[in-house]
Amino acid sequence: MAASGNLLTFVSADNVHIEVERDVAERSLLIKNMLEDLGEATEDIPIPNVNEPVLRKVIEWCRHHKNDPPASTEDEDSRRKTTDIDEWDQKFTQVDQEMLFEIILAANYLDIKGLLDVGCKTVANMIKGKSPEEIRKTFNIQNDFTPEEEDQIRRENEWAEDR
Amino acid sequence: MSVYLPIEVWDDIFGRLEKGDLFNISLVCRMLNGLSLWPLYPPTPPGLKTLEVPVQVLMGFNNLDEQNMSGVLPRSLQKLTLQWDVPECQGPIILHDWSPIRIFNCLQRFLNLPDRSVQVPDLTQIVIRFPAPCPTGEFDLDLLDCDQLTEDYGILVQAKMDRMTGGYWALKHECE
Repeated sequence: MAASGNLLTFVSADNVHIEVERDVAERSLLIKNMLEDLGEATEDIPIPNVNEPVLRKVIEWCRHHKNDPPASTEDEDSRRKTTDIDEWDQKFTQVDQEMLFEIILAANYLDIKGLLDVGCKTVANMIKGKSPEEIRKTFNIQNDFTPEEEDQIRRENEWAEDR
Repeated sequence: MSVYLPIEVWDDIFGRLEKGDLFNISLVCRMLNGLSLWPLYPPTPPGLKTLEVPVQVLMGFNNLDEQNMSGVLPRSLQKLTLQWDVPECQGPIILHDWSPIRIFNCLQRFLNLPDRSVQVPDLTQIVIRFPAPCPTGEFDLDLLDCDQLTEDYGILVQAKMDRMTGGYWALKHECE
């Protein structure tokens, strides 16, 4: 299947062909720049780092946000400091953690700043206000230390906690 | 978790957190044996015994007085060499911040950390490696009292100066 008119065809890492509107695909700077270099895309576009379920989620986000205005430099600076997420994006990111990380990786690879931003905010919110134990549990991080060593580190760092 | 995010993505995530959350993250890191600053970075080889890196890799470029490298070093580390080799790319203000004395003070602060012996229990030697000639002007290595650090902390501390290259690979004329 090749591109026709306003439709492009992405080929996922697991070799699934997915049709996507050009204006939706161009939310990805990687794709946008590639299309500008190529002129007309007549071939399928391989997305070798992204499998089908993740690619479909990414396209879903791009389709919803296809009319968003491009971010200015000031917006860029301020967006990097916040963790506010709009309602639609909050629902969009209600996926299991592996899928969330895959979406972030795909956004990073495809250079979709808005989606990367949403992903980073979501992960930041998963960390905010949690104790070290809760953070470990959230990300399934195993503790290498014995309980005694852990106690020692905790005691040694108590002084810094109130700074 | 089998999916790892790149370091620059985690930097973006951590950049949105408050000091208290970052402190909790540093505690999580301290309770792990791995090399990674953050356990969900791509994994690094376990059991690393010797490490030579530019000091900025461990400490960052700014706020030297607030940073320490204890959360980054692997527990298995025995010998650490800190390269001080990129001041010339920073401009005059930062250049001043990265004076040899400043690096020495950072090292002293690291050695003085209460949990340093837990974090790197096998560390026996630290070398600070300066380029010759020193890009910030003539500098006397004897100003750094490494012997005193060795005596105080039981770890052999040395400062050395040699013809380091401007990068990780030898310049052509140095190969000849």
